[in-house]
Order: sequence, then structure tokens, then C-alpha cells
Amino acid sequence: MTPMHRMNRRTALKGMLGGAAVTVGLPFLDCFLDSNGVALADGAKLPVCFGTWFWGLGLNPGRWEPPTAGKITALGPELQPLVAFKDKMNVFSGMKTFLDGKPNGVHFSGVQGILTGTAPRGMTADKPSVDTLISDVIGTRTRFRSLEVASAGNPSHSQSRRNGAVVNPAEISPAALYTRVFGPEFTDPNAADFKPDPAVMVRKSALSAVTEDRQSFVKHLGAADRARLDEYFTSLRSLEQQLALQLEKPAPLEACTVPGKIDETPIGTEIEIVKTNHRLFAGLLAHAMACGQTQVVNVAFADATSSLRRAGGTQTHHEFSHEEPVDAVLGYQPTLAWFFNEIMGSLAFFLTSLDGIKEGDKTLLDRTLIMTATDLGYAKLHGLENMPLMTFGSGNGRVKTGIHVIAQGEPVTRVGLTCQQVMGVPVSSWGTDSNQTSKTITEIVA
Amino acid sequence: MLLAGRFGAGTVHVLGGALVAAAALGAVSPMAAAETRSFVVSYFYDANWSDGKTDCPDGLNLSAIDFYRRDLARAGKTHDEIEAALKDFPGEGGLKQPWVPMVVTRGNGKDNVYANPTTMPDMGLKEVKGKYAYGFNLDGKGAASPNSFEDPDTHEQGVNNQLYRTMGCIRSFRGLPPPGRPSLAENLWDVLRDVIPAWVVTLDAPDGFAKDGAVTVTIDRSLDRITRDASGTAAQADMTFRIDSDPRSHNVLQGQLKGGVVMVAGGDVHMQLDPYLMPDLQMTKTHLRLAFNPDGTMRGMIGGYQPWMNLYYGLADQGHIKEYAGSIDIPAVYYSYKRNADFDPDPKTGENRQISSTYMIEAVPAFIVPAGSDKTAEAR
Amino acid sequence: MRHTSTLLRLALSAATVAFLWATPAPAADGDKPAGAETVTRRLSQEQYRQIIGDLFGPTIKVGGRFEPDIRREGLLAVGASQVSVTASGLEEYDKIARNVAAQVVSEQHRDTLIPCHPAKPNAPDDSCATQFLRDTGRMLYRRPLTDEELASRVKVANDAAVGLKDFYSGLGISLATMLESPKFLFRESIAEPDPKHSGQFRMDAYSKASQLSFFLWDSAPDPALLDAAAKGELETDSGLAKQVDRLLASPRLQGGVRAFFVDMLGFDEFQTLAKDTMIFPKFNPAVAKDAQEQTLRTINKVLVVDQADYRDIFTTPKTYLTPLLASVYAVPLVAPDGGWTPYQFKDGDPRAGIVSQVAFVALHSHPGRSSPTLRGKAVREVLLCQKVPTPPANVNFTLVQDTKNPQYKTARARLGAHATQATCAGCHKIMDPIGLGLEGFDSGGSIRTMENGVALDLSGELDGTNFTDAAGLAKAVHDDPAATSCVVNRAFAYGMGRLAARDESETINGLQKAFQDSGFKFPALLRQIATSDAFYRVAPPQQLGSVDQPSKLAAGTRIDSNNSREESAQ
Repeated sequence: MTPMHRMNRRTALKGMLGGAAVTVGLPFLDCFLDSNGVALADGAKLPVCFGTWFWGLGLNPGRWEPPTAGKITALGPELQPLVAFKDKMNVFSGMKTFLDGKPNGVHFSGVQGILTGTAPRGMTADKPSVDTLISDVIGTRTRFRSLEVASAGNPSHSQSRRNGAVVNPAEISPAALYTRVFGPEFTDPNAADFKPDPAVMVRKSALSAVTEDRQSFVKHLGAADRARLDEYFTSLRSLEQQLALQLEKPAPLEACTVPGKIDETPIGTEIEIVKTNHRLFAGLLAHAMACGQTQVVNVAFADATSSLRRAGGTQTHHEFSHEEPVDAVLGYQPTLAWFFNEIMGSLAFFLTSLDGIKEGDKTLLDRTLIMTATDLGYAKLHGLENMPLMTFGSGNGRVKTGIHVIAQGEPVTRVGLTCQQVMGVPVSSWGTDSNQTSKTITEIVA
Repeated sequence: MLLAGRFGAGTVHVLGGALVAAAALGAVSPMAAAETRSFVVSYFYDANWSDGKTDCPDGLNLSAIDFYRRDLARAGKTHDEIEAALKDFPGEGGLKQPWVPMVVTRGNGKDNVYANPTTMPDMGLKEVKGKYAYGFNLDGKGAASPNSFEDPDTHEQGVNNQLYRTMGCIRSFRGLPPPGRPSLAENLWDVLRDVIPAWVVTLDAPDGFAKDGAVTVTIDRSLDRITRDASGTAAQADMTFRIDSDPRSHNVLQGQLKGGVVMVAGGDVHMQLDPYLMPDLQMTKTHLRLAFNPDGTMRGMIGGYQPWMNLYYGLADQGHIKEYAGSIDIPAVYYSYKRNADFDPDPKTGENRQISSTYMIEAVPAFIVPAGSDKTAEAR
Repeated sequence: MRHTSTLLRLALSAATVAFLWATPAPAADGDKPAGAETVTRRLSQEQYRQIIGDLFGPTIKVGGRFEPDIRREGLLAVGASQVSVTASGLEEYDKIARNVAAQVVSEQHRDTLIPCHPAKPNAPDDSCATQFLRDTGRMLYRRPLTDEELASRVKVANDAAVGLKDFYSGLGISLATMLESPKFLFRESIAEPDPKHSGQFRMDAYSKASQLSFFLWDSAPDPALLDAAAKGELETDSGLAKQVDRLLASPRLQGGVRAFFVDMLGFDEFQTLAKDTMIFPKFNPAVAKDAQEQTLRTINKVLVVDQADYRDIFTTPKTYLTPLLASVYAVPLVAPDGGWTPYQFKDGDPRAGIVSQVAFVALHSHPGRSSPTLRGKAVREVLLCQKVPTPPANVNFTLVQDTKNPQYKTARARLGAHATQATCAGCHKIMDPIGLGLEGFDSGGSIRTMENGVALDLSGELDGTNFTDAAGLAKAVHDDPAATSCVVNRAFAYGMGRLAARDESETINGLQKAFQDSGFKFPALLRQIATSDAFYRVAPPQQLGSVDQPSKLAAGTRIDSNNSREESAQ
């Protein structure tokens, strides 16, 4: 059996394997697994997973930060819904997105800083988001390179992008996601018998004709168009990859259970509808990861502008952020805080879905690293200071947890850089202009 | 300039084609002109009051599975036979379920018990024993009227509502909390209104609605059905309905407008309905009380005597299906209707053929046009 | 006040100018405009469906979720030149393609849609596959297939027929690969030297046919147009005019005009429009659908059927209603079969014209309440092509709240602070006074005269023209020269897939003048554009070296500190 290449993350942090490209190895063959079906026979663990979880409008400053740096002993009131995870999370406070004189693209520049490392010039991003960089490393051997979901009903709420104008569209219907992942094209890794489907072989071979179209097609394209169409051909390769995987027997995964079919649910921006759809998505994504269908997930709870609203209410979450007065007694905007509580409660549910899947003596959350992202540090004034940032899970032991890091005035990109590095992306610095950093958050690196 | 706010749909003024702004805006002038308001019925259901305790001091009637057990035991089935038949109760409720044929003939083992309710003895339906009921003093006797109630809202004495007395302690017919819609009554109408022609109500006030005076209430059936609004529960307001010219569902009642409330005391109403609820509504000594909400919708009650056999038919024709779905012991209800009927004695037998009843009406504004009209009324 | 508004108008027109011109391409010799670089546009969802319908008929269902289109410079048609296909997008295209292909070759459809039979049903048949794929390919790729292209797809069909032991399944597989090919999904413009203007380039005949067909019919060229291209007829003025007139005279023009206005009016936003059902119980999803159709029918009647003045769409009292819309408008309506019925409002009724129609006022509102600002902004940007600057990031709205009386009864009162605060007034002065005229329509599009118990004041102003209600606003829009110049610019950008280049200003001016001379007839504008040289002009193609190695992003991508990707040397 050919040994698998695995990127040693220490090597990554030191700055590289002498220029050699990262390769991810061969298909999982079940001879690799030990008798528990959990660890691989050579003692390696189940593959690491990564995810982003995005919500709009940040949090109320001063109300989320743990009281001290170092070990998390308590969380601010707006993070209270996450207290069950305080030992499995890291909190980063004080970080900001630098604009370097560029206009503040409200509800945009901040999240681009966190996810792409760059505050864009206008309202068009032009750098890939951190999850695509990571999925290029860890997402190439799964049926889906990554899965994006948006629980507030618009595929454009996704913050995941390869480059340029367009995001990777998110699923908005849990029922549709169910069909896509666990429907007729799902191969159960625990199924006793496996026969490659001849129809899939035929389809895969037919796709090569489309790849061949490339040469004659790009002949007539200008340079800008070529770059744009490059993404199409990358997508084509992903599709071929999907089919290739369907022709291989997947390794059994003990923690994999196929969830029950999900019926159509209403889609919208009303908070109860959003929470329901988010819950369904959380369960589906957890099962998808446990069943090896993907290793990268991206959740957009709502859009950056946060159009969430309450039934019968005339104002959205966003409108409250600007129009609700700061309560003289409480010292913050109470309805705004109410929405934040709902949102953080949903994040807790998402984490519970992952943590609820037992894999040996650990859980799916333990082998996952979730990075949160938001668009603002202070919604009322569109402030980009002190943007709330967190990670959850230890990424298969690569990350230490339970730590609060205060990085006053430092760029938010430190989080994205560190996540890439522990995930095995060979990068020593990340970001542009004042958001460029090479300072890994070593406190959390195992 | 634009006209009145919310009563828009109703304010279709007819005199000389001119639109009367003043009356619509509620301005009171010495020569207040006539006004018409029209509505379409969004909900129609039994007006059953409940506070959760005093209405049914003896408790509620049994669930279907329990009174089936009771009746089958009475019919001589063994415990094992009964439990075997009811094992997957209700299953899909279709005729193939083992319990169905047993239950349908539970009287004498061979005759359909819904068509022949007297094959069962009177098992004694638990009835309403409380003080309050929605409704009207139909017989004019006031508090002296036997078995009468007090209306919980108006505190009128001598309210006759024997239908409520019969049905009010069946769980699916309890109006909790008041003035809530009883669940089965609500459900029956909810299902029906998507398919039956809509009921429209027109109120004509010759002196306008701003002051007390005479009012004519016309209740008609439409050729059109209601459309549900965005919430899915109420009818969409301001839709247009063509009146069905069939005289069988055309009713004109004279009433009074007092303090903004329309009241009718007397008259006959006949409306084609549907056997799913009852084949038709035949009411005599009809009373009405209708009030307007600030948003322009209308809410009220209609009460009167109706032939109880008509009501029984609405249950019996679906037999075991309505029986198990609503836990309505149909033969027992038969006896209860018979016993509680309070009007119109049969000349031969002396038994009352009609029973006092009250229903709630919820209605939204609508445009009404005569059938065959190809000219729509003018926009306001 | 006057001074400020003049300055604002200057600022606006400057913004408009900046807004409307694209980055110029290098000028060619002489003073003729060079055009801009050719844009490759992805098919929109509607175009995809239209082509499948044209080719295979209405019984073939196109199901699945399409990758979202994006809006640039006010149009999805321009955004089409900036999108590609993401991985999940292609996954979906693949599903849709297989689904469509499976239907086409199904027993139900094969006899009508496939003009030949295989010698044996469970084996490949070269000649029948060739015939079908050649004819279908020509329609899908909008030009004849090259020999290599045809051979490659016939091979796919044959191999698949062997693998699946079924001719028709094999044919379906091949057809599906065509439907996900970039040659179908993207509209390329192939450039050739322009014999009429030395040194310049124009689209080749088939690219011209596509350019024309998508512009007027929002779909791929029909067989007659492809034949005209093949015969070289599109290279002559008279040949081109003949085809243009044929397309304009066809009933299919209505679909094309409809597609243009769906784009320009931003109706795609309806997909994510939410209204609170408790506050606006009348506004159910069927209303949203009907509302769009109402506006499109209104426009179609004025522009295409009556061939009337474009500006009449803002003031026409004639429209079409369904029973649901009638309930939103609170008018009685007897519809013969519950469907569309012509309806006419009385003279002076504020409900005349598309600005007060539900599709405009409901689309540009919040879920729970109306918004004079959103509506004013929409009038500026959608109908007058004037860009409103984005709000400053650090606005503190609590400054404007009166803490004693936080509950402002009407929008006019709530926005009053916008007019007094210096940082807000500059921009809000160009939006709010317009939208306040539409406050007689709530967020669900229903008419009202009061808000929170206070009678509404519907007076407002558009660039110096005062009005007292929505009818007055409609007239102000009608009379504003920006309205007609806007639709000219939009139509050109829609057809080109990009803004006009700076040195195409002469072309645009010519179009404006012709539009005016025609009495602002929209089909005349379309004709003017479709028969102009500018419409088919492209910049010289870039010097293209050898075709790149396909980049191997699947495994082994090095990222340097500038975050640009380098392809590994595999």
C-alpha cells in the first residue's frame, strides 16, 4: 500500500517544503482503517474539516469579550449562548480591518478583510476567500469541494468566492441540499456492496469532450475573458472529480448515518424561518462531513446587512442598528442585542450539531476548525474596530482551544492566516497593504 | 383626492353615480346620505363559549377510541377482539381498517348506526351545564326561558343555544379561549371555503353608518370563491364577488344600527351550504349582531332555530370519519339533539324539530356586483 | 436652496456621465470610434429556457437552480459579461442538461424531436447521431459546428451508446455535454476585419446574428436568421435591415421587449422580496407575480402594440388587472375567467403609470413599511439613470432622533431630519422629495390616505418641478429629458453587454436624436441600434499566444504572499 502524503503543519509554519507542491493522497482504501473504523491503520485520524460561519452586524462592543486574556473563564453577555463551548473555542478581540484610505464599503470592507485579506477599492471583491484557499488543500478528495448554505433565503448571501465579482452561490433550501447530498447520487460509505455505476463511467468519459472544447473556445477570447473563463474550467474539473469519486468505493465511516429526508420549508428573512432553515442546514452539513461528502462548509446565517426581522415588525435587524437609540440605563441597543442573542444561539446549535456526532472518543467538532466572520465591529457607525472573531473546534488537534487572545489594533487577517497555516496551506504571510500580516497567532497553534 | 381609508370596499355609493366622500369619512351632516358596506364571510363556525371549567363540570366526552371500546363491549365483543380491531387505530380510517365495520354497525351488529342511530341506546352525551353561552333570546321569554343561558359579552338573559349545549363538551367543539374558534368547527369551514361559493353580506344604511337608524342586511351566495390572503387564514380583502341570482340563497333582513352595531331580530335565512358541514343553513327567527373593527373588517354572530335533522345529516353522512376525527359520538349526539330541540313541535309526535343555535361570522370588506354584470362599479 | 439644487444637478449629471461611459479602448486610426473589447456573456436563466423552448418545444421542462445573474451598471445584461461558472453552478448546469437531454430522447419525445431512427436501438448509429447533433448543435452554438466539434460529439454519442447499450441514452449523453459546453453557455463575439472601415474590426456573421437575436428576441437566432448569416446577407445594409425588420415585426418582439424591461426595472429582486404578512396581508406571492406582469403588459401595450410615445408609460391610465391586483388597488373587477382584464383609471387618478404600480412601489420598500428614500432613489437610478452617491459610513442616526417623541407618525416626519442635517441633506434632497409623492402607496402597494392616524401630505419635487400627488410625480418624470436619454443608454448597454465607450458618444447622441425624431417610439430606437455599425463593432482582438496549459488547481497550488495563484509545473 502506498503511504499517504500528509502535509505536516509544522513544516508549513516554518515556511515550506522547499517549494514542493502540496499533494493530497490516494483514495481512502478500507485497508487503511483500523478495526474501529475510526482511525486510519497507520494511526492517522479522520480527515480534518474546516468551515466558516458568517453573520451580519458584528456584536455590541464591550458585551462579548471575555474579561481577561489567556484561558477563557467567562464570556461576555452576547456570547453567553456559546458558553457550553468555552473550552472548545478561541476568542480574538481588538482586531480591525484597515482601510488605508479607501472608502469604507459598508457591510462589505470588513468581511472582505476577514475572509479575503483585502479591503477592496470599490464594492467588488477581487481576492479569493480563505475557505477556497483551504478547500484547495483539503477539499480535493471529496465529492464536494465545499458546501455553501444561506439560511435567509438568498444564494448571494454566500461570502465564499474564488475571485472577482461572484460568490459561490449558497443553497437556500434544506430540502434541495438534502437531495443534492443524500439523494440519488449519494454513495453510502457504509454500504456493504459497491458497484461503480456504468452510467457514471459513461458521463465521466463524455465530459472530456467538454474539456476539449476549451482550446477552440479560448482562442477567440480577450485576456480579461480568459481569466474569467478559467473559473469555468476549474469548475469543470471539480465536476469530473465528483464523478471520479463516485466510481471509487468510499472508505466506511462509522459515524456516518444518512439523515431522514427533509421536506420543503418556507424560505424568508423572518427570524423564525431563518432559524428553522439554519437548524436543518446544520444537521445536514454535520452529516455531510461525517459521511465524507465534504470537508469544507460555509454558512451564511444572513446577509452582511442583516435583513432579519420579526414577524409583524416593521424594522429589520439592520434598521435597528441605526435607528434604535442606545438605552440610557442599559448602555446598548436592546433590540439589536436581542437579534444578536438569536444569532449566537443559532451558532451554538450549529456547533452542537457537529459536537453531537461521536467519532470514537472524540466528536466531529474536534476534527473541525470553524472560523467565524462578520462585517462590522460596531454596527451603528459601521465601525471596523474590534471585530468579533472566534474559532471553534481543534481541527484534529492542530489548534489549542479555550483561549482569549487580545490583539489590540492588529489586522483581522491574523486569524485567516493562522487558519490557513494549520489547515496546511503553504503560506507565510497573507493580506494586502496594512492588512498584510505574517504574525501567526501562536497561542492557539498546537 | 383619494377617498376614505379602510372602508373602501364597502363604500360603493350608488346614488346618481357620484361618490360621496363626506359620508365615507364619517362626517355627520344633518342630511347624511345613504351608505352601503359589503363584506365576504371569511369564517363561519359554531359560537361555543368555554372557560375551561364551568362549562363542562362533568368533564369532557370520551375520545373516539374510548367510546368505541365502550360500545363494542356493550355489543358483546371480547376484550381481545376489541383490542385486536383497534390495534392500529385509527390507521388511515378507510373502510379497510378492521375496526371500521365493527364500529359502523355497533348498534345491533348489522345496521349502519349513523343511518339508524336508534339501534344504539342513548349512551348519554355529556352536555354543557354552565351559565354562559353566546347567542340571542330567540323565544322572547328572557330569563324565564327553560335551559337558557346568559351571553358572556352582552349579559343578555334568556339566550337560547341548545346546539351549544349538545356540542360544547366535545373537545373538538370547545371554543377555548374565548372567543376562540372551536378546532373542528374552524377546520370544517377552513376546508370548505376553498371550494364552496363565498357568502356575501351587504349592509345598506339609508342614513349612513355614523348615526343610529335602520339598516337592511342582505345575505347572498356568490358565484365566486374566496381567495386566501398572505397569512393563509383570512380571506383576501377588497376582492370582487358576483352575486348568485338563485333566490334560494337570497336573504333580506331588516335591522337596526345602534351605536355602530347592526342588530337584527327576526327573519328567515336560507343559504345553500355543503353536506361536509350541513347541506344548507335553514334558520328561522334569525338574530344578528354585527360590529366593525378599526381595520374595516366585520365580526359578529348569527343565531336562530334550525331543523336539527339537517345538522345530524351533516354528521351522519360522513359517519365514522367525522366520528373518529372529531371524537363525536354520533348516535349519542342524535339523542342529544332530539332531547335538546326547543322549537317547532311535530304535530303528530309533539317532539321539537328545530334547535336553537348560534354561529360566529368573521368577514372582510369586498366589492359586490350583480351576476352577469360586465360593468364594474366605479373606482372610489 | 436654488443654488444648492443647481449644484446638485450638476453633480448628478457629472455622476451620470461618469456612470455611463465605459473605459475606452485604444482608438484606431482616423476619428472613427474603435469600440470596446469584445465581451463574452453567459446566458441568463431566461435565455437558457427560451433556447430550449425554441429548439425542443414547450413540453420539455427545464428544472433546477441556475447560478444567479449579477447586476452591473444597472443591468443584468452587463453583469452577464462578468460572471463565470462556479463549481456548484456547473454541478447544477450538468443536472439541468442531463434532465433536458433525457426528456428529449425519451420515448415520448424522440419521434418528434429526433428526425431519424437508428438502425438498431441498442447500438450506436453514426449517421443518425451525426444528423441530430449537427442540426441541434448549430442551433445551440448559434453557428454550424466545425468538423472537429461534430466528430467529437458523435464519438461521445457512439461511445456512450456502447457503454449504455442504448442509442438514445448515448445520444442524450452527448446532447447534455453540448448543453454544458462553454460554447453554449457563453456568447462569444468572434471578430473579423471590417472591410468598410480599414483597421477596424467587426463581429463575424454568426456573432452578428446572435447579437441581433438576443437583443430583439432574448434568444438564440432562429433558422432563418442563421441562414441569412450563412449566405452573407447580414453584411449588406439591406440584408441586415431585412432581418431586423423581420424580427421587429414578429410577435416574438414582445418577449424581447419584456426581457429588456424585466432587466431595467430590476424585477429579479422580486425573488427575494419579502413583505410581512401580518402587516400586509394582501401581499401574497401571487400578488408579486401579478404585479410584474401588470407592469410588463402596460409597457407592452404602450410601446409595442400601440407604438406610442415611450414617456406615456409613466402616465397612461390604462393597465391590466387580475382579481388579486384589483383587491390591492381596492377596485371592483369582474374578470371573465379570473385572469387578466383591461382596466382604465380615471383622468388624474394617482394610480396611472408604472411609477405608482405595485411592481415599483412594493419592490422599493422595506418589508414592514414604505420608504420614500428607496423609491426616490429608484426613480433616479432606474428610470432616469442618475447615480445616487452611497451614504457615508459613519452616520450616527441617533443624532437625528427626538428622544422625547421617538415615534414619528409619518415617513415625512421621520425623514424631516434628513433635510436639516448637513451630512444627510445633500443626498436625501435628491431622493426624498420624489419618494414622498408616492407615500399614498404602502409597502404592499395598496393605496392609503393616512399613516398612524395622520393624513398624508403627498407633495414633493423632482428637479425643480413641484407636484402634489403621485399623478403629478408621474408627469414630472414624463417631462424629464433624463427619462428618454436613460432608456437610450440602457437599451444600448443591454444590447452590447457593456456601457458605451467614451468615443461612442457620437453614436449615443445620434440614437438620442433619432429617438426624439421618431416621437420616442421604442421599436424605432431598437431598429436604430440594431442597424447601426456601432452595434457590431469590436476592438481589435488581443495578440493571442499559444493556448495555455489547463491550470491544475485540483492539486498543488502555490500561493505567494500577494495571494495570486501560480500554477504548479505539473
